[in-house]
Amino acid sequence: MMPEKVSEEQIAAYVDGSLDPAEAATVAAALAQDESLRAYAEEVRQASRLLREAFEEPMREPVSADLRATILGSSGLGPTGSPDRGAAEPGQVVDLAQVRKARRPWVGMALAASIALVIGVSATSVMIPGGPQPADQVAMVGTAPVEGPLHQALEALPSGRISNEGIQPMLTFYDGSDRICREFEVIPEDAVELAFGIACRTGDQRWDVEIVVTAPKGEVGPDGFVPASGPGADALEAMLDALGAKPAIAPAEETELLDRGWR
Amino acid sequence: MYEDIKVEMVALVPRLRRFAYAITGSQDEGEDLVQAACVKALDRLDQFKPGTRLDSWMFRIVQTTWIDRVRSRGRRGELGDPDALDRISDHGVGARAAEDRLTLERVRAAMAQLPEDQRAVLALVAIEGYSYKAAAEALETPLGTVMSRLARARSKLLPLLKESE
Repeated sequence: MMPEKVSEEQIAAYVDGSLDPAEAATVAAALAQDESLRAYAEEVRQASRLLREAFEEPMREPVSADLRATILGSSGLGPTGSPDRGAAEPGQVVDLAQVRKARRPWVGMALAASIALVIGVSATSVMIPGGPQPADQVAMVGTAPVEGPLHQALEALPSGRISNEGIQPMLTFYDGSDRICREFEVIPEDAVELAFGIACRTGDQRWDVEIVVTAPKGEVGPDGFVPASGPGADALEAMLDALGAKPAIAPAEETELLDRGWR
Repeated sequence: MYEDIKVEMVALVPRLRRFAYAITGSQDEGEDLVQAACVKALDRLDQFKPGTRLDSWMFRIVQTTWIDRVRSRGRRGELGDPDALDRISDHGVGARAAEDRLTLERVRAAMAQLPEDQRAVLALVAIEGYSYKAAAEALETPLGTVMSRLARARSKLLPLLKESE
């Protein structure tokens, strides 16, 4: 079947998480088949990542006592003391919930369990040699280098375990063409954003990364929880649909596959 | 009155500053803009519709306050970023960090070349992760306008960023 033609605007809208489910599925299918379209999607995604990084600095600075007082008035209301950015503020919790709700254009059905797994994983402390590093430099669309940390993690780690580089396989499933695929997350401690992705094992014992989506780390909740929705998660779910992903396999079956070297 | 909203507003300040930095191109200008926008918002808290997004409402106020400033100065886009060079020299530790810093400097320069309205849309969608619909509502602009602004912004920005690689 010939894939439908998709425009650059549609691809950008897909990366932005602004397509309705039907259109997202069309674009995901086209991306799965056409490398040049994937390259454009990657370009859009990289540009957004760079923009987030370029204007990120104000996110790190605490709200000044002056501005806090201006907004809250003299009632002394709200958290006082150390303006530690890591501290949860009551308003922030409400806001994050609202943001997530508003950002979710549709609820994907595929592998709801996978997204549930994502919740509750806290941003584990990991050190990257050479300092802070954007999450998605570890994971790029295409074949993962055999010597690289992503290949190593996908090859050797059971789901739920996290590598020194902050790579965590989340679950394993078979896709529509019976390839073994794994969903993973990359959460380097100091990165501006985190990345989610799907990689499928090829006949020559490599892992092909099908999609990487990123979420600004600002979306991580006060408890360090990764959000279950947002444009990133939606794009991921559309890709799962396009791949014809079957339900995640049970841990025991995964262990067996891992021991057999995924064959 | 409005205590919950005020607490939420304080929590929003870092994101408001990020947005303001993206549309003004200067952290100092952005900081000042957020301050002014918060004062304005506090004055008209009765106009905020409960149940709608406070962040969208605030972004809108930041954006309109900025447009007012630009107009009253009778110029646009020529502010540059006076603190850009400072920031490079401030943290020039290690070749890798310096290189990344230069790349991001180019990103900011590329953003500064876009018209005001395109910058605001791009900041909401690419940086804040807004859906097109939410961005249209926040900026009180038709959805089609948001989409065409975004397309124009990207067609200009992407080639500029490619050059910088």
